[in-house]
Amino acid sequence: MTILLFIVILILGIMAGTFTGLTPGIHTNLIAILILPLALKSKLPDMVGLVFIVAMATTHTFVDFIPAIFLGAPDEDTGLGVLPGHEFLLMGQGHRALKLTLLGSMIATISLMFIAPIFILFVPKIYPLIQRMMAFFLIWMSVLLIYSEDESKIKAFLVFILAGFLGISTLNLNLNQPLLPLLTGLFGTSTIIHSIKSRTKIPEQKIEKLHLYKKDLIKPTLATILISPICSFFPGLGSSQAAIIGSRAAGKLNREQFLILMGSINTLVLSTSFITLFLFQKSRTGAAFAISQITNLTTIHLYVIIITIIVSAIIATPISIKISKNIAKNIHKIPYTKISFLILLFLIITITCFSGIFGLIILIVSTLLGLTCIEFQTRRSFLMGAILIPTIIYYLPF
Amino acid sequence: MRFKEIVFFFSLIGILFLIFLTQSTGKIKSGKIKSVQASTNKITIKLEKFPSELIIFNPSYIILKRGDIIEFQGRQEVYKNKEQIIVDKIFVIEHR
Repeated sequence: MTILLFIVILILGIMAGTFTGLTPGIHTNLIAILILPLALKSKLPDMVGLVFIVAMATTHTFVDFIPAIFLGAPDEDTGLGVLPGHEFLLMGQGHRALKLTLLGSMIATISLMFIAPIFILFVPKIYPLIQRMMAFFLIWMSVLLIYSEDESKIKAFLVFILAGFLGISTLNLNLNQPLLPLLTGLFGTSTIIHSIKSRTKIPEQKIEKLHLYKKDLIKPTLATILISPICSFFPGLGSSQAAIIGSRAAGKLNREQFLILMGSINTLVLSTSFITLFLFQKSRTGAAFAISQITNLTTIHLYVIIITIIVSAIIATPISIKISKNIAKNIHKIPYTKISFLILLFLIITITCFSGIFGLIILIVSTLLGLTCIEFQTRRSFLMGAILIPTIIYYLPF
Repeated sequence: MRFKEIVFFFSLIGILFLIFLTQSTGKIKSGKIKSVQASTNKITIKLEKFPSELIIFNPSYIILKRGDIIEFQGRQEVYKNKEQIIVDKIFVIEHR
């Protein structure tokens, strides 16, 4: 593959990632799987499909916080970022929230260069131990999560368990993209309906430089480095679960640190999933799955993947800042309730198209549970019982 | 009833409905085993007159051999352009 072809494919991938990232409800996994038949049938070199998918998926992890923060419409990986992001938006600091997630994504990209060799050397050795301990670790973490609730532990427990039942039923329904209706309902549509109900008005957004102390970056960086490789290695553990584990492991994080953590984990879980594919032929993300169908990864492929991730990150950051700045400058002029209704309609149509009528039913039920959580004034992270409880059951050794 | 109670009540009803739906929608299929291959973390089964391979990950204690008739439930997936069924439940209904 020539340098010129590499650049062209890279740019196309970045454009596709910007589209998937900005469109509520469209995950990069979906596009990767849609273009797979095309990549398999075409006579182009394997590298073309590989560079396109990696560039698209990397860019997606930078851009996908924009709809989550400004519209309250997350995808599978940004669900937990909606609430702090929306709070920043209501304080006129939506652009600042986006910059924090981008900072996280850049930290992840830099960390990747140090993590990759360590990951290749050590993870295969500790894999059996982690696999045996995972269920108990997640149970301990869930207990800790409920115990740390100050307001009402009973309500928190109730929401967590109900979300667990919802998650188990959803994952057993044999649906296409089951997490899309589940997480959109729990974190997205419920937030949008709550905004409509409380007639939320978006204030004028401030566009300021981001000033942070170095010590603010230490906790989220450490949490990302510790947790992301583990999560990219195990089925059932994605960015959202990694964010919960990471935020518990790192100790108390403020909202800014949490957004940095969300951004960094989102990017690093994706990046390390390619290393997992290289080491163990296990695909833990849709992008890694698509690549596994195109080619068997070699060391050269891995180098190209890492270069593609770094270049995509460098280009995706200013693109995301530019888009966010434009939205932030204009969002207070737009009738937010009307936009919320449109987004709601768009999500309902998208989910019905991709996950069918059962997907729509799950969206309705998960929205009701998301609204219950808001009305109970319980932390939204308890809704992650929908993912944690099925994951615990999967890893239990009996 | 206040909004809080209404959404709580309907989310409970919805979850119960989904549990019921899960129990009633899983189609049970059956077939005669043509071959069984076991490795450390999975069992691959081929059935007579059945296009897809059956895959059982992390298998618990079960004895399967050629000629056994089984009933199974699972989800269809495509792996390396081959159709597979990832088995959730499997029962031997007749030993050879």
